Amino acid sequence: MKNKNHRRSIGEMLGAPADAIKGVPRVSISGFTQVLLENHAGLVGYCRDSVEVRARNGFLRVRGQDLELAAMTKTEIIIRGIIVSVEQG
Amino acid sequence: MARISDCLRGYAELKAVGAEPARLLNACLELGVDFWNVYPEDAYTIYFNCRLKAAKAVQALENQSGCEIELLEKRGAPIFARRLRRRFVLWFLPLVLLIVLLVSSLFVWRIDIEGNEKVSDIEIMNALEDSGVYLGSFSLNYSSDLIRNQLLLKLPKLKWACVSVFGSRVQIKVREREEIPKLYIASEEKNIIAKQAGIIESIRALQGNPLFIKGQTAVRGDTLISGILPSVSGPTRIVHALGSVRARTWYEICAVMPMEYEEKVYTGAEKNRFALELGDNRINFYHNSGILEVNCDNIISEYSLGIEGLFQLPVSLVHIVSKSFETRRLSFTETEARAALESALNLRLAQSIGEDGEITSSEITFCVSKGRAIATLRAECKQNIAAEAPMSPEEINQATTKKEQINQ
Repeated sequence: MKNKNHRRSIGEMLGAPADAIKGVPRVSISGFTQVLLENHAGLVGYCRDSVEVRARNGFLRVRGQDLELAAMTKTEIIIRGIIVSVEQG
Repeated sequence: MARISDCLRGYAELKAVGAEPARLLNACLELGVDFWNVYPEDAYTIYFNCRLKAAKAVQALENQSGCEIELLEKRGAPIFARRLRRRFVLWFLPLVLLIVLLVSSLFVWRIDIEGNEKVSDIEIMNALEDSGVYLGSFSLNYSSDLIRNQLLLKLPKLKWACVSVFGSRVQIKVREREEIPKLYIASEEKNIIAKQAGIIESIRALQGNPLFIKGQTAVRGDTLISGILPSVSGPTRIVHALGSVRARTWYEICAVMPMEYEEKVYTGAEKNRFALELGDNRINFYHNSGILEVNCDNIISEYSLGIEGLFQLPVSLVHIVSKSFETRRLSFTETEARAALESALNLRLAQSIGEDGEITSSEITFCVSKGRAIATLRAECKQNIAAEAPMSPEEINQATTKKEQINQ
């Protein structure tokens, strides 16, 4: 934990963007119908209304309607459906 | 909806039922198995797709993930191909067809000829056949330059030809030689004669000796301007007579036409016949192949196998529709008959007097007799009646004798 905080503070000191730091989860929403989650650490729960994904420092929860895991790899998840919110927990 | 790439590579549809289906998905990720279209039916059941090769590996994760995994279906091109392997005919016939298509595209099955008006297609086809280009010949042997040269040598009426080979279609474009215009050859021994009887109004002799003067009557065949030029001081000369003679001419042309004519009325009865043409051979799917029915119109449509403009196979389906009809006799009205005859007579007169002729007066009489319409055109015209005619041997001999006598 200490190590991770150090890494973040060094990044902040250098003025580097957050997504340049290795392993930081990245969320991209396209047109309210697709969410791309990068650098996830596994799926926690999945139903039609929400998808919960484990991230580096916690969880990410995508809420919506008719959600579907369009594709999933070790580092990326594509979720399709009507996206209502993306929450960090 | 399945993506094209998935369909081509093949995929398996799986169903997982368990307390935590997400564990199975995470296990798949750990194993490096790609999956997509994950659909949760409820909190304990999910459906998803994965590659065919990975399906067994996913099923092996049953114990690890605590889920019951069922392989629902395998889909895609590899599965389809595997099914076809047993159905020999289904893949063998398309393969044979493909081979036939490829082989047949090396042969000529259609020859298109463009640009010919006076030289007939048959003449060109015969010349091509002599050069080795005919239906069914091997197109890879062709040399366009050689064929073109042989074609031009065999058909001197052609001045230019182009041979293009498009797969099984050969396109021949030709240009014909223009006819050499009639030349005035001064050394030719010719007279000017009257092509029509008439009273001469003017005579213009550019070369030769005019034998008529204004007001005289010339009958058809009279020599108007002679090519023999007698001379008082020198020898008699024989020249090519040249000039024009304008004269008043009279015409009486008669035209007859029947007042009744037959009109076709289709009865509505139709007969369809089919035939298959394979190269030069024809297979008829009907009896009495060569006998066409009486009182029927035969409309023949031909549908060739191939892609228009790209290649043509020697297979075509011929569809013959025979539409039967009855004839009924109808009559022209006098006005119609008169108009038709007048038009025909005026056209005939215009052809007779030529482009520079003019009609001074004309009158048409019309009568109907014994079911026939008769029209007579009487016209007075002014026209050039001069026509070139070669001198007779007697005339030439006579002139030559005179010439020799004067020389002695």
